[in-house]
Amino acid sequence: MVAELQAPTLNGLERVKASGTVSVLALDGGNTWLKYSVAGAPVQCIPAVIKELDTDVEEVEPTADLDSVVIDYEGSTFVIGALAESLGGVPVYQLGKPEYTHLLFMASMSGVAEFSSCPVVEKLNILVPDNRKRQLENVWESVSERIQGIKSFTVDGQMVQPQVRNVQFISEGAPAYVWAKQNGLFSQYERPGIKKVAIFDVGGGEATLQVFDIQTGRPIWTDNQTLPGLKSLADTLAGKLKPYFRTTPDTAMLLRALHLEQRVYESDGQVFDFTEQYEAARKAWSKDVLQKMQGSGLFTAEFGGVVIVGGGAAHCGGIEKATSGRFVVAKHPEVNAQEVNAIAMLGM
Amino acid sequence: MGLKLIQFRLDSGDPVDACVLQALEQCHGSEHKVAKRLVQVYALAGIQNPAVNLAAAQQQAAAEQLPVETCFVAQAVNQVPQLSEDLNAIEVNYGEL
Repeated sequence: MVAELQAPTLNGLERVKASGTVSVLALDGGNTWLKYSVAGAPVQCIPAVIKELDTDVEEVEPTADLDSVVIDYEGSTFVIGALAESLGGVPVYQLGKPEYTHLLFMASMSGVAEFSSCPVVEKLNILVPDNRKRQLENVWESVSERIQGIKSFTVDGQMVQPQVRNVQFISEGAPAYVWAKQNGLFSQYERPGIKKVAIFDVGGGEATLQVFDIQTGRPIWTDNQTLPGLKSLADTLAGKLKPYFRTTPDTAMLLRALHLEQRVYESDGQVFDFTEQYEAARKAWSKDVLQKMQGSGLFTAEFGGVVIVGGGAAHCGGIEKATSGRFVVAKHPEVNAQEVNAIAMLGM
Repeated sequence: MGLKLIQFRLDSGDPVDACVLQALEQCHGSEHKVAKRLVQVYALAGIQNPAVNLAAAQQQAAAEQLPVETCFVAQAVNQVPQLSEDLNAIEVNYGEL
Protein backbone atom coordinates (compact mmCIF):
# COMPACT_ATOMS: atom_id res chain seq x y z
CA MET A 1 0.00 0.00 0.00
CA VAL A 2 1.28 3.46 -0.87
CA ALA A 3 0.10 6.48 1.05
CA GLU A 4 -0.06 9.43 -1.33
CA LEU A 5 0.63 12.99 -0.44
CA GLN A 6 -0.86 15.93 -2.21
CA ALA A 7 1.67 18.52 -3.27
CA PRO A 8 0.92 22.11 -2.24
CA THR A 9 -0.88 23.82 -5.10
CA LEU A 10 -1.14 27.42 -3.95
CA ASN A 11 1.89 29.61 -4.20
CA GLY A 12 1.67 31.56 -0.97
CA LEU A 13 4.50 33.82 -2.00
CA GLU A 14 2.24 35.29 -4.67
CA ARG A 15 -0.16 36.30 -1.93
CA VAL A 16 2.67 37.73 0.09
CA LYS A 17 3.82 39.70 -2.92
CA ALA A 18 0.38 41.21 -3.36
CA SER A 19 -0.46 41.99 0.26
CA GLY A 20 2.63 41.53 2.43
CA THR A 21 0.56 39.19 4.57
CA VAL A 22 1.52 35.61 5.34
CA SER A 23 -1.64 33.80 6.33
CA VAL A 24 0.24 30.88 7.85
CA LEU A 25 3.89 29.94 8.17
CA ALA A 26 4.67 26.33 9.04
CA LEU A 27 8.05 25.75 10.69
CA ASP A 28 9.48 22.28 11.34
CA GLY A 29 12.96 22.55 12.81
CA GLY A 30 14.10 18.95 12.80
CA ASN A 31 17.29 17.56 14.24
CA THR A 32 19.05 17.63 10.92
CA TRP A 33 16.82 19.61 8.55
CA LEU A 34 14.78 22.77 8.80
CA LYS A 35 11.57 22.50 6.80
CA TYR A 36 9.18 25.37 6.29
CA SER A 37 6.39 26.47 4.05
CA VAL A 38 5.09 30.00 3.61
CA ALA A 39 1.33 29.94 3.15
CA GLY A 40 1.29 26.88 0.92
CA ALA A 41 4.41 27.61 -1.11
CA PRO A 42 6.54 24.52 -1.77
CA VAL A 43 8.30 23.30 1.35
CA GLN A 44 11.87 24.56 1.69
CA CYS A 45 14.40 22.27 3.28
CA ILE A 46 17.85 23.32 4.49
CA PRO A 47 20.32 21.73 6.91
CA ALA A 48 19.44 22.69 10.50
CA VAL A 49 22.94 23.87 11.29
CA ILE A 50 23.90 27.29 12.68
CA LYS A 51 27.24 29.01 12.63
CA GLU A 52 27.64 32.26 14.52
CA LEU A 53 30.41 34.21 12.90
CA ASP A 54 33.18 35.98 14.72
CA THR A 55 32.90 39.11 12.61
CA ASP A 56 36.36 40.28 13.62
CA VAL A 57 37.90 37.46 11.65
CA GLU A 58 35.10 35.86 9.64
CA GLU A 59 32.97 37.31 6.91
CA VAL A 60 30.49 35.94 4.39
CA GLU A 61 28.53 37.63 1.67
CA PRO A 62 24.74 37.42 1.53
CA THR A 63 24.08 34.18 -0.26
CA ALA A 64 21.88 33.34 -3.20
CA ASP A 65 22.37 29.69 -2.30
CA LEU A 66 18.91 28.21 -1.63
CA ASP A 67 20.38 25.85 0.98
CA SER A 68 21.78 28.66 3.14
CA VAL A 69 20.84 32.00 4.64
CA VAL A 70 22.84 34.71 6.36
CA ILE A 71 21.16 36.60 9.20
CA ASP A 72 22.23 39.77 10.98
CA TYR A 73 20.43 40.26 14.26
CA GLU A 74 21.23 42.45 17.26
CA GLY A 75 24.85 42.91 16.24
CA SER A 76 25.54 39.24 15.54
CA THR A 77 25.84 37.40 12.24
CA PHE A 78 24.55 33.88 11.82
CA VAL A 79 24.84 31.50 8.89
CA ILE A 80 22.19 28.80 8.68
CA GLY A 81 22.12 25.82 6.33
CA ALA A 82 24.62 24.12 4.05
CA LEU A 83 27.12 26.98 4.29
CA ALA A 84 27.00 26.80 8.08
CA GLU A 85 27.70 23.08 7.81
CA SER A 86 30.80 23.69 5.68
CA LEU A 87 31.96 26.44 8.08
CA GLY A 88 31.88 24.03 11.01
CA GLY A 89 28.54 25.12 12.44
CA VAL A 90 26.59 23.24 15.08
CA PRO A 91 23.32 21.34 14.57
CA VAL A 92 20.35 23.09 16.13
CA TYR A 93 19.52 20.13 18.35
CA GLN A 94 22.96 20.41 19.95
CA LEU A 95 22.54 24.14 20.46
CA GLY A 96 19.05 23.73 21.87
CA LYS A 97 15.92 24.23 19.81
CA PRO A 98 14.18 26.66 22.17
CA GLU A 99 17.19 28.98 22.25
CA TYR A 100 17.49 29.13 18.47
CA THR A 101 13.97 28.77 17.12
CA HIS A 102 13.74 32.54 16.59
CA LEU A 103 16.69 32.26 14.18
CA LEU A 104 14.96 29.44 12.31
CA PHE A 105 11.93 31.72 11.99
CA MET A 106 14.15 34.43 10.54
CA ALA A 107 15.64 31.94 8.08
CA SER A 108 12.14 31.00 6.96
CA MET A 109 11.50 34.64 6.06
CA SER A 110 14.22 34.71 3.39
CA GLY A 111 11.75 34.19 0.56
CA VAL A 112 9.27 36.65 2.03
CA ALA A 113 11.88 39.40 2.35
CA GLU A 114 12.13 39.62 -1.43
CA PHE A 115 8.58 40.93 -1.58
CA SER A 116 7.92 42.70 1.68
CA SER A 117 10.16 44.39 4.22
CA CYS A 118 7.32 44.62 6.76
CA PRO A 119 5.47 41.32 6.44
CA VAL A 120 2.59 40.41 8.70
CA VAL A 121 2.53 36.76 9.74
CA GLU A 122 -0.99 36.02 10.85
CA LYS A 123 -0.19 32.57 12.20
CA LEU A 124 3.16 30.93 12.87
CA ASN A 125 2.85 27.18 13.47
CA ILE A 126 5.93 25.66 15.05
CA LEU A 127 6.48 21.93 15.50
CA VAL A 128 7.80 21.03 18.97
CA PRO A 129 8.51 17.70 20.68
CA ASP A 130 5.90 18.26 23.38
CA ASN A 131 3.17 20.88 23.56
CA ARG A 132 1.63 19.88 26.85
CA LYS A 133 0.80 22.74 29.18
CA ARG A 134 3.84 22.41 31.40
CA GLN A 135 6.20 22.40 28.41
CA LEU A 136 4.45 25.44 26.95
CA GLU A 137 4.74 27.35 30.18
CA ASN A 138 8.30 26.33 30.97
CA VAL A 139 9.83 26.43 27.52
CA TRP A 140 7.84 27.59 24.56
CA GLU A 141 5.94 30.64 25.75
CA SER A 142 9.22 32.52 26.13
CA VAL A 143 10.12 31.48 22.57
CA SER A 144 6.83 32.90 21.38
CA GLU A 145 7.49 36.17 23.20
CA ARG A 146 10.97 36.33 21.73
CA ILE A 147 9.71 35.87 18.18
CA GLN A 148 6.89 38.35 18.58
CA GLY A 149 9.36 40.80 20.07
CA ILE A 150 11.64 40.84 17.02
CA LYS A 151 11.77 44.41 15.73
CA SER A 152 14.02 43.93 12.74
CA PHE A 153 16.74 41.73 11.27
CA THR A 154 18.53 41.28 7.99
CA VAL A 155 18.28 38.08 5.98
CA ASP A 156 20.56 37.69 2.96
CA GLY A 157 21.12 41.44 2.98
CA GLN A 158 17.44 42.42 3.08
CA MET A 159 16.00 44.11 6.13
CA VAL A 160 12.80 42.63 7.54
CA GLN A 161 10.56 44.16 10.18
CA PRO A 162 8.07 41.39 10.87
CA GLN A 163 4.86 41.42 12.80
CA VAL A 164 3.86 37.98 14.06
CA ARG A 165 0.30 37.98 15.33
CA ASN A 166 -0.12 34.43 16.61
CA VAL A 167 2.31 31.67 17.47
CA GLN A 168 1.02 28.15 17.86
CA PHE A 169 3.12 25.23 19.07
CA ILE A 170 2.09 21.91 17.62
CA SER A 171 3.27 18.59 18.95
CA GLU A 172 5.40 16.33 16.75
CA GLY A 173 3.35 13.67 15.05
CA ALA A 174 0.07 15.57 15.39
CA PRO A 175 0.14 17.19 11.93
CA ALA A 176 1.05 13.91 10.26
CA TYR A 177 -1.69 12.16 12.21
CA VAL A 178 -4.28 14.71 11.08
CA TRP A 179 -3.07 14.42 7.51
CA ALA A 180 -3.09 10.61 7.56
CA LYS A 181 -6.55 10.54 9.09
CA GLN A 182 -7.94 13.03 6.55
CA ASN A 183 -6.47 11.00 3.71
CA GLY A 184 -7.97 7.75 4.92
CA LEU A 185 -4.72 6.03 5.83
CA PHE A 186 -6.15 4.89 9.14
CA SER A 187 -9.64 4.14 7.83
CA GLN A 188 -9.07 0.37 7.85
CA TYR A 189 -8.44 0.63 11.59
CA GLU A 190 -11.59 2.61 12.35
CA ARG A 191 -13.53 -0.35 13.61
CA PRO A 192 -14.47 -1.93 16.87
CA GLY A 193 -11.58 -3.23 18.88
CA ILE A 194 -8.87 -0.95 17.47
CA LYS A 195 -8.00 1.87 19.81
CA LYS A 196 -4.57 3.07 18.80
CA VAL A 197 -2.62 4.03 15.70
CA ALA A 198 0.73 5.75 15.38
CA ILE A 199 2.98 8.02 13.38
CA PHE A 200 6.58 6.85 13.02
CA ASP A 201 8.66 9.95 12.28
CA VAL A 202 12.11 8.90 11.15
CA GLY A 203 14.51 11.78 11.56
CA GLY A 204 18.26 12.12 11.42
CA GLY A 205 19.04 11.95 15.12
CA GLU A 206 15.97 10.18 16.39
CA ALA A 207 12.99 8.23 15.17
CA THR A 208 9.89 8.81 17.23
CA LEU A 209 6.79 6.69 17.47
CA GLN A 210 3.83 8.82 18.47
CA VAL A 211 0.71 6.93 19.42
CA PHE A 212 -2.79 8.35 19.07
CA ASP A 213 -6.25 7.37 20.23
CA ILE A 214 -7.97 6.71 16.93
CA GLN A 215 -11.36 7.75 18.27
CA THR A 216 -10.42 11.08 19.81
CA GLY A 217 -7.17 11.90 18.04
CA ARG A 218 -5.53 12.60 21.37
CA PRO A 219 -1.87 11.65 21.75
CA ILE A 220 -1.20 8.82 24.17
CA TRP A 221 2.01 10.20 25.63
CA THR A 222 2.78 7.17 27.78
CA ASP A 223 3.02 4.94 24.69
CA ASN A 224 5.39 7.20 22.76
CA GLN A 225 8.84 5.88 22.05
CA THR A 226 12.12 7.45 21.02
CA LEU A 227 14.18 5.15 18.83
CA PRO A 228 17.44 5.37 16.91
CA GLY A 229 17.17 7.54 13.81
CA LEU A 230 19.12 7.58 10.57
CA LYS A 231 22.33 8.54 12.34
CA SER A 232 22.36 5.08 13.88
CA LEU A 233 22.05 3.58 10.39
CA ALA A 234 24.86 5.86 9.18
CA ASP A 235 27.09 4.87 12.14
CA THR A 236 26.60 1.19 11.34
CA LEU A 237 27.29 1.90 7.68
CA ALA A 238 30.47 3.81 8.57
CA GLY A 239 31.69 0.79 10.52
CA LYS A 240 31.05 -1.50 7.57
CA LEU A 241 32.87 0.85 5.19
CA LYS A 242 35.87 1.39 7.43
CA PRO A 243 37.91 -1.54 6.03
CA TYR A 244 37.73 0.02 2.57
CA PHE A 245 39.25 3.41 3.51
CA ARG A 246 42.31 4.66 5.35
CA THR A 247 40.12 6.75 7.68
CA THR A 248 36.70 6.04 9.16
CA PRO A 249 34.04 7.37 6.79
CA ASP A 250 32.42 10.59 7.90
CA THR A 251 28.96 9.91 9.35
CA ALA A 252 27.69 13.37 8.39
CA MET A 253 28.59 12.76 4.75
CA LEU A 254 26.95 9.36 4.87
CA LEU A 255 23.83 10.94 6.36
CA ARG A 256 23.78 13.42 3.50
CA ALA A 257 24.14 10.57 1.01
CA LEU A 258 21.31 8.66 2.69
CA HIS A 259 19.13 11.76 2.60
CA LEU A 260 19.76 12.08 -1.13
CA GLU A 261 19.24 8.32 -1.50
CA GLN A 262 22.72 7.99 -2.95
CA ARG A 263 24.73 4.80 -2.49
CA VAL A 264 28.14 6.23 -3.23
CA TYR A 265 30.85 7.49 -0.86
CA GLU A 266 33.93 9.34 -2.01
CA SER A 267 37.11 9.59 0.05
CA ASP A 268 40.86 9.06 -0.26
CA GLY A 269 40.49 9.75 -3.97
CA GLN A 270 38.25 6.76 -4.53
CA VAL A 271 34.55 6.41 -5.18
CA PHE A 272 32.91 3.45 -3.50
CA ASP A 273 29.49 2.00 -4.22
CA PHE A 274 28.17 0.96 -0.80
CA THR A 275 24.89 -0.59 -1.89
CA GLU A 276 25.75 -3.95 -0.35
CA GLN A 277 26.91 -2.47 2.97
CA TYR A 278 23.89 -0.15 3.03
CA GLU A 279 21.50 -3.08 2.70
CA ALA A 280 23.12 -4.84 5.64
CA ALA A 281 23.09 -1.65 7.76
CA ARG A 282 19.49 -0.86 6.81
CA LYS A 283 18.33 -4.35 7.80
CA ALA A 284 20.18 -4.12 11.12
CA TRP A 285 18.65 -0.72 11.90
CA SER A 286 15.16 -1.84 10.85
CA LYS A 287 15.42 -4.94 13.01
CA ASP A 288 16.65 -2.89 15.95
CA VAL A 289 13.77 -0.40 15.89
CA LEU A 290 11.11 -3.07 15.30
CA GLN A 291 12.45 -5.22 18.11
CA LYS A 292 12.40 -2.23 20.46
CA MET A 293 8.80 -1.46 19.51
CA GLN A 294 7.78 -5.07 19.86
CA GLY A 295 9.59 -5.39 23.16
CA SER A 296 7.63 -2.48 24.59
CA GLY A 297 4.44 -4.50 24.31
CA LEU A 298 2.74 -1.95 22.08
CA PHE A 299 1.71 -4.38 19.36
CA THR A 300 -1.45 -5.68 21.00
CA ALA A 301 -4.70 -6.51 19.27
CA GLU A 302 -5.99 -2.98 19.97
CA PHE A 303 -3.13 -1.42 18.03
CA GLY A 304 -3.95 -0.75 14.37
CA GLY A 305 -1.23 0.51 12.08
CA VAL A 306 1.52 3.03 11.58
CA VAL A 307 2.17 5.72 8.96
CA ILE A 308 5.86 6.46 8.42
CA VAL A 309 6.97 10.03 7.72
CA GLY A 310 10.21 11.99 7.99
CA GLY A 311 13.44 12.21 6.05
CA GLY A 312 14.28 8.59 6.85
CA ALA A 313 11.01 7.17 5.55
CA ALA A 314 12.68 6.22 2.28
CA HIS A 315 14.71 3.62 4.19
CA CYS A 316 11.66 1.91 5.68
CA GLY A 317 10.56 -0.23 2.74
CA GLY A 318 11.74 -3.33 4.59
CA ILE A 319 9.66 -2.39 7.63
CA GLU A 320 6.60 -2.16 5.38
CA LYS A 321 7.25 -5.65 4.03
CA ALA A 322 8.11 -7.22 7.36
CA THR A 323 4.87 -5.99 8.90
CA SER A 324 2.72 -6.93 5.90
CA GLY A 325 1.76 -3.30 5.34
CA ARG A 326 0.75 -2.50 8.90
CA PHE A 327 3.53 0.08 8.68
CA VAL A 328 3.12 2.17 5.53
CA VAL A 329 5.39 4.88 4.15
CA ALA A 330 3.77 8.15 3.10
CA LYS A 331 5.22 8.95 -0.30
CA HIS A 332 4.54 10.84 -3.46
CA PRO A 333 6.65 11.50 -6.56
CA GLU A 334 6.72 15.24 -5.91
CA VAL A 335 6.59 15.41 -2.12
CA ASN A 336 9.08 13.87 0.25
CA ALA A 337 7.62 12.21 3.34
CA GLN A 338 9.92 14.55 5.24
CA GLU A 339 7.60 17.41 4.30
CA VAL A 340 4.39 15.94 5.67
CA ASN A 341 4.47 17.78 8.99
CA ALA A 342 5.13 21.15 7.36
CA ILE A 343 2.39 20.62 4.78
CA ALA A 344 -0.12 19.46 7.37
CA MET A 345 0.66 22.35 9.70
CA LEU A 346 -0.47 24.80 7.01
CA GLY A 347 -4.02 23.71 7.73
CA MET A 348 -3.83 23.75 11.52
CA MET B 1 -7.57 -31.02 17.91
CA GLY B 2 -9.26 -29.08 15.12
CA LEU B 3 -10.22 -26.24 17.43
CA LYS B 4 -9.28 -22.67 16.74
CA LEU B 5 -9.33 -20.51 19.83
CA ILE B 6 -10.19 -16.86 19.89
CA GLN B 7 -9.85 -15.51 23.37
CA PHE B 8 -11.02 -12.25 24.84
CA ARG B 9 -10.44 -11.28 28.43
CA LEU B 10 -13.09 -9.11 30.01
CA ASP B 11 -12.84 -7.74 33.49
CA SER B 12 -16.04 -7.48 35.44
CA GLY B 13 -17.45 -3.98 35.16
CA ASP B 14 -15.37 -3.04 32.14
CA PRO B 15 -17.20 -1.57 29.20
CA VAL B 16 -17.60 -4.46 26.83
CA ASP B 17 -15.53 -3.92 23.79
CA ALA B 18 -17.67 -3.54 20.72
CA CYS B 19 -15.36 -5.83 18.88
CA VAL B 20 -16.05 -8.63 21.29
CA LEU B 21 -19.74 -8.02 20.93
CA GLN B 22 -19.41 -8.18 17.17
CA ALA B 23 -17.46 -11.42 17.40
CA LEU B 24 -19.95 -12.95 19.75
CA GLU B 25 -22.84 -11.90 17.58
CA GLN B 26 -21.20 -13.55 14.62
CA CYS B 27 -20.49 -16.60 16.67
CA HIS B 28 -23.65 -16.98 18.61
CA GLY B 29 -26.36 -14.70 17.36
CA SER B 30 -27.95 -12.64 20.07
CA GLU B 31 -27.40 -15.21 22.79
CA HIS B 32 -24.05 -13.92 23.96
CA LYS B 33 -23.45 -13.61 27.66
CA VAL B 34 -20.84 -10.93 27.90
CA ALA B 35 -21.19 -10.37 31.61
CA LYS B 36 -18.86 -13.27 32.24
CA ARG B 37 -15.46 -12.24 33.48
CA LEU B 38 -13.71 -14.49 30.99
CA VAL B 39 -15.20 -15.31 27.64
CA GLN B 40 -13.68 -17.79 25.28
CA VAL B 41 -14.99 -18.22 21.82
CA TYR B 42 -14.31 -21.33 19.91
CA ALA B 43 -14.54 -21.61 16.20
CA LEU B 44 -14.46 -25.16 14.96
CA ALA B 45 -12.09 -24.97 12.06
CA GLY B 46 -12.78 -27.49 9.35
CA ILE B 47 -16.10 -28.63 10.72
CA GLN B 48 -18.84 -27.99 8.24
CA ASN B 49 -21.70 -28.06 10.68
CA PRO B 50 -20.44 -26.60 13.92
CA ALA B 51 -23.78 -25.81 15.45
CA VAL B 52 -23.91 -29.21 17.10
CA ASN B 53 -20.45 -29.06 18.59
CA LEU B 54 -20.95 -27.06 21.74
CA ALA B 55 -20.44 -30.19 23.77
CA ALA B 56 -17.28 -31.03 21.82
CA ALA B 57 -15.91 -27.56 22.46
CA GLN B 58 -16.63 -27.83 26.15
CA GLN B 59 -14.94 -31.23 26.25
CA GLN B 60 -11.91 -29.84 24.51
CA ALA B 61 -11.75 -26.88 26.88
CA ALA B 62 -11.91 -29.27 29.82
CA ALA B 63 -9.18 -31.45 28.30
CA GLU B 64 -6.94 -28.41 27.96
CA GLN B 65 -7.83 -27.32 31.48
CA LEU B 66 -8.79 -23.88 30.23
CA PRO B 67 -10.51 -21.60 32.76
CA VAL B 68 -13.72 -21.57 30.80
CA GLU B 69 -16.84 -20.05 32.18
CA THR B 70 -18.72 -19.84 28.93
CA CYS B 71 -18.06 -21.52 25.64
CA PHE B 72 -19.49 -20.39 22.37
CA VAL B 73 -19.39 -22.46 19.25
CA ALA B 74 -19.03 -20.51 16.06
CA GLN B 75 -22.03 -20.59 13.84
CA ALA B 76 -20.17 -18.84 11.07
CA VAL B 77 -17.00 -20.85 10.74
CA ASN B 78 -15.83 -19.00 7.65
CA GLN B 79 -16.06 -15.59 9.24
CA VAL B 80 -14.40 -16.31 12.52
CA PRO B 81 -10.93 -17.25 11.31
CA GLN B 82 -10.86 -14.02 9.27
CA LEU B 83 -11.97 -12.05 12.28
CA SER B 84 -9.29 -13.73 14.32
CA GLU B 85 -6.65 -12.82 11.77
CA ASP B 86 -7.79 -9.19 11.67
CA LEU B 87 -7.58 -8.93 15.38
CA ASN B 88 -4.08 -10.25 15.61
CA ALA B 89 -1.45 -7.90 16.84
CA ILE B 90 1.18 -6.74 14.37
CA GLU B 91 3.47 -9.59 13.53
CA VAL B 92 6.97 -8.93 12.31
CA ASN B 93 8.59 -11.21 9.78
CA TYR B 94 12.22 -10.26 10.18
CA GLY B 95 13.16 -12.33 7.16
CA GLU B 96 11.37 -9.78 4.96
CA LEU B 97 13.48 -6.84 6.10
